[in-house]
Amino acid sequence: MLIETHLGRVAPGECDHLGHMNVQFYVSKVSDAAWHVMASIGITPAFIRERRQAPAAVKQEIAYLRELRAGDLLRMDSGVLEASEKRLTFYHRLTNVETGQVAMTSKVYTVNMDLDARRSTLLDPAILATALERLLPESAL
Amino acid sequence: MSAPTFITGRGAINSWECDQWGHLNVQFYLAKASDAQAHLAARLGLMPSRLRSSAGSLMPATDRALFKRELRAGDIFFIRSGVRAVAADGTLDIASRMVNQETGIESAAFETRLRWVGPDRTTPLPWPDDVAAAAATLAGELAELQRPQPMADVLPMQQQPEHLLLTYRGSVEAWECDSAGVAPPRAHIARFNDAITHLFRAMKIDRAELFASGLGSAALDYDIAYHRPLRSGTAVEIRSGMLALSDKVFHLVHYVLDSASGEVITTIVVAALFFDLAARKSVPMPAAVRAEAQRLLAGA
Repeated sequence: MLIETHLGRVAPGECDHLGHMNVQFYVSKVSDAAWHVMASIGITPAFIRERRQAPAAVKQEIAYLRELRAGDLLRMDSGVLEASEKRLTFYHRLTNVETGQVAMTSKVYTVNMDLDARRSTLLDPAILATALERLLPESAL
Repeated sequence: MSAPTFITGRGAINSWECDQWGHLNVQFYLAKASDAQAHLAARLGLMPSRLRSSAGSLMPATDRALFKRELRAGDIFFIRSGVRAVAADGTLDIASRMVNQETGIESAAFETRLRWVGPDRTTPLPWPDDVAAAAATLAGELAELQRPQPMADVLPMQQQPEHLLLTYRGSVEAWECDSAGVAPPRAHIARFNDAITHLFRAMKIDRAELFASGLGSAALDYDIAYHRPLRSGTAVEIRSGMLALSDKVFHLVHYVLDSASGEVITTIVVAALFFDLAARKSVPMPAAVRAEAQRLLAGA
């Protein structure tokens, strides 16, 4: 299931001398969106604070499909691609609101991390079950 | 029937947007509200491509921002916006509410008057016909976004700004501004944020000592008037004064001035208070601070 995870705008300060949004800010927007898609399967801000665990990115694939310019309006849609005992893979799709064109897609591979031990740990069973229920079909990509 | 509202923003609070008090700094509330306003403007036909090619621009004339609940690093939010009214003279009244998406609790309310202006970013222009028509269709009572009470009446200033305390001096830099060299609301707020530390100094408050004593300060309510564009390269200063004191809440005023011309660029009246950093609850103003605030109130 894809859900809206970011709604924002390209700031002038995010653009480089090539006149478009610099790559680092695509990742920044994926990071913002990640907190929403995580919350949608139960990894909410309160869960992270109380249970002291959260997915940590270990690998990311990005396809930059369209340039974005200062002032462009953005929407990110995200979902869960894969889920297993310790691992979640998230999919993000960034769209230019005005043109409807997809500007970026990204897969973020994560390992669930114990925030105190700083080591991998098992996902909460209820969260894993929710993630598995909501897995994106291949047709959504 | 209630006029429609739209989700115009969605995001997360990052730790680098939070200040020493452990919550989202005021300037980032306004930054996120500005982005949301751009999404609402797009619904009126003012898409980014049109704004880039148009002689007209959207500029804020006034802003009211009420900070209701703290947002902390890791929190997720959405913003809902709607149009209250559109006037033929080129003003547009819009409302936005920022909500903690996890708790459903409203974190901030924004009431903004936008103006359609010419290339000098000052001269009002009539709305393009299609934009005026779209705004008229969407405008009305916003049942989901109740109007806030007016800011509490505070005593009028008896002094000219130049006689108030100098609380900030700096310049407007290109990286804060849009492609035309005009700074957004966030840049104004960032300077008020700096100014308050200097005002505190005049009240003999050391921010580190305040923190060590378990107290922080927080803004509750901003009433802002943007008189002139804040432009890249301008030398600016802020003059600040205390307007009113009650048991907990104090009101102060900041004037952003063009250092060269003395013209007022922005005026803001702020309602603020102190709070217990552990309990996250407001507390009465400490007696020593209150005495200094009283001294400032008297124009000392």
